[in-house]
Amino acid sequence: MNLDVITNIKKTRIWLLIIISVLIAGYIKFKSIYSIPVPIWSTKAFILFLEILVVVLVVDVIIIIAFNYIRKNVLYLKHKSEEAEELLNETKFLSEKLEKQTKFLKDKLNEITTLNKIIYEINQTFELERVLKIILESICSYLKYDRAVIFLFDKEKDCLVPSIGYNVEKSELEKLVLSLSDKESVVVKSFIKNIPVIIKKLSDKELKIPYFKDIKEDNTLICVPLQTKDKNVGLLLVDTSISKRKLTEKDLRSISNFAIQTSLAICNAQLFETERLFKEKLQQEVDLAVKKLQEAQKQLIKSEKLAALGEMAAVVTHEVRNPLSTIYMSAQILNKTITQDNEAKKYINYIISETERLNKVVTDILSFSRKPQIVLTKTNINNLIEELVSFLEISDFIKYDIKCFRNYDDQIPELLLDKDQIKQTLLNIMQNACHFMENRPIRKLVIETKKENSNCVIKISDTGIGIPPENTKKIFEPFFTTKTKGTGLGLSISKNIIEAHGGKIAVESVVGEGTTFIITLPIKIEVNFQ
Amino acid sequence: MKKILIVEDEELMLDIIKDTLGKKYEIKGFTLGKQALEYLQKEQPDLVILDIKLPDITGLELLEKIRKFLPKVPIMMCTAYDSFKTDYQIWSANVADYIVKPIVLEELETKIKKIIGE
Repeated sequence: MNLDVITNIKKTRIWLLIIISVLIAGYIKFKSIYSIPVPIWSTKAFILFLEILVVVLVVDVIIIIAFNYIRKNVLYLKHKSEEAEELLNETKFLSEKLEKQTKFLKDKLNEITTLNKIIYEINQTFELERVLKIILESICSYLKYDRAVIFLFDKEKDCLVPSIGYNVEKSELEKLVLSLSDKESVVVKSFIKNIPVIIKKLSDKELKIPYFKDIKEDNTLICVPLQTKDKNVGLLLVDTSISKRKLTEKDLRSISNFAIQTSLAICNAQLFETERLFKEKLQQEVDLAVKKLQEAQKQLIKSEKLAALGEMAAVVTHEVRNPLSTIYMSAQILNKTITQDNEAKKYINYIISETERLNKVVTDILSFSRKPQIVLTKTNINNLIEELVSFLEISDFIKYDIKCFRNYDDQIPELLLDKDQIKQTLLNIMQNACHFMENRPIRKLVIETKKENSNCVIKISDTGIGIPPENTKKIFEPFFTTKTKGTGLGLSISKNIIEAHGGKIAVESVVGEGTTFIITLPIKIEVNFQ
Repeated sequence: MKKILIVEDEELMLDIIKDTLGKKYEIKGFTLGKQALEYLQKEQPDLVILDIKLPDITGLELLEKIRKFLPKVPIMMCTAYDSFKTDYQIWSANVADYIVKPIVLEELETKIKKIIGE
């Protein structure tokens, strides 16, 4: 308001000066033309004075206007300069702020990039040991630590077990087990409370742990619990014991961020490991079950086949043996009635021997197709063999011209055996031996008995043609034979009989040199009825 | 002459046995268990030879029936099954002996002789 009044007064003054000047100038100009009466005191000097006054007034007006104009401009310029300065300050402030923000973002970006790198590395594998190794390597390389140890929480033992270390000797690592009962320990406290800490001063107690011994500087060790939402995973210890870099809250923050990811990775790896083990175990069990099933199936097929064969054999035996018996008896009668020189004698003998052979085939099939039923009696095995030798001495030994050697162990006690079946088995093996020594340069049968621990071992060796290695396993299989006349059931039946006695039968053979059958019978027999 | 009853469904075999042993013993042969039982109601032989498998009854069932009214007459079983040897353990109390087919005539004669004599 005041300013306006002052401005108006100033304006009025200028206008007054202009009007006065115009009036005076008009008077001087127009006084002679319009004969304006001139006062008496109006002299030339007065007129000059008026003229000078007009000039002064005009100059005054001009000066005032000019001055006003200049002043106005100066003020304007001054204002503008102030504005510019203000703007400059503001810009400076903003630029500083921007710089700060940029730095902060850059730090954050660095942290996130590092974290991402580490997470990426961790996620490359699910193998626990490898995951732990990558974690430690990543921490030390990206977050600039010199050493690191990961402890895994052992719930059963209630302690933290060092699992893996970076730049830590294995022998040293093994000594680092941290019991959770040691409540004084800063490390244990940190784990229990789930708070990451920079360990400022190590207590004497902590110093006793070998790993910490060489940490002399304060603020060079960080302890970070590794926990997920619902599980205590373990603990991470990192230090800068070599570079002696003082650790700050920033270090603590970045490693804490990282700890969450580490815990999850460890959890995942542990889960994966458990699952892998479980899968492996399951696979093993499945494999085993499949194998058992296959075996059972095989056995079932075998036993079904055997049962069918057994039934068939029983019927066949009965139906064949009756007519066989009639033929046999008829032949016997004929054989008795006709004289030696009769031509028919030869053919009757053929009938008798072939009937006997036929009967043997039937008997073999029947014996093979049913489980051996054994009737145990106390038997002197040496006497039993001797009986067989006596029989062979008047039959096969003469036929093939064989020398027999016996070596009996008198220490063998009486065995509980099915005398007839063991006799059948041994006779079968001995007769086989004789058969395969036919036309061999040396024809020697060696029978040996021996007491070995709780077993009686019978060895029957020949100097026959021998068995090729590819056949040694097959010889106990049913229907396997290299003889022209034979069902291939003899050794299979022998094996069944020996096994029914809880014994074992094995064969050793060298082609061209001979074969040895080794029969092991337990002295205290446990009859195997399976 | 001692009497032997043979129950055997194979007629030819029965015939051969009759021919072979007929000179030494009085042989009576039947092919059915029923016929044998009827005969035994009237006559008492010195030895009975039973086939294990008969068309109308098993030899062992027949054995039990005979034992009910003739507890002491010696009975010999005749079988085409090897497994009878095992069963014999169970039946041995009731049975004098057994013979396995195909029959060796000499063996049969020896066994009969052993049980009832000439």
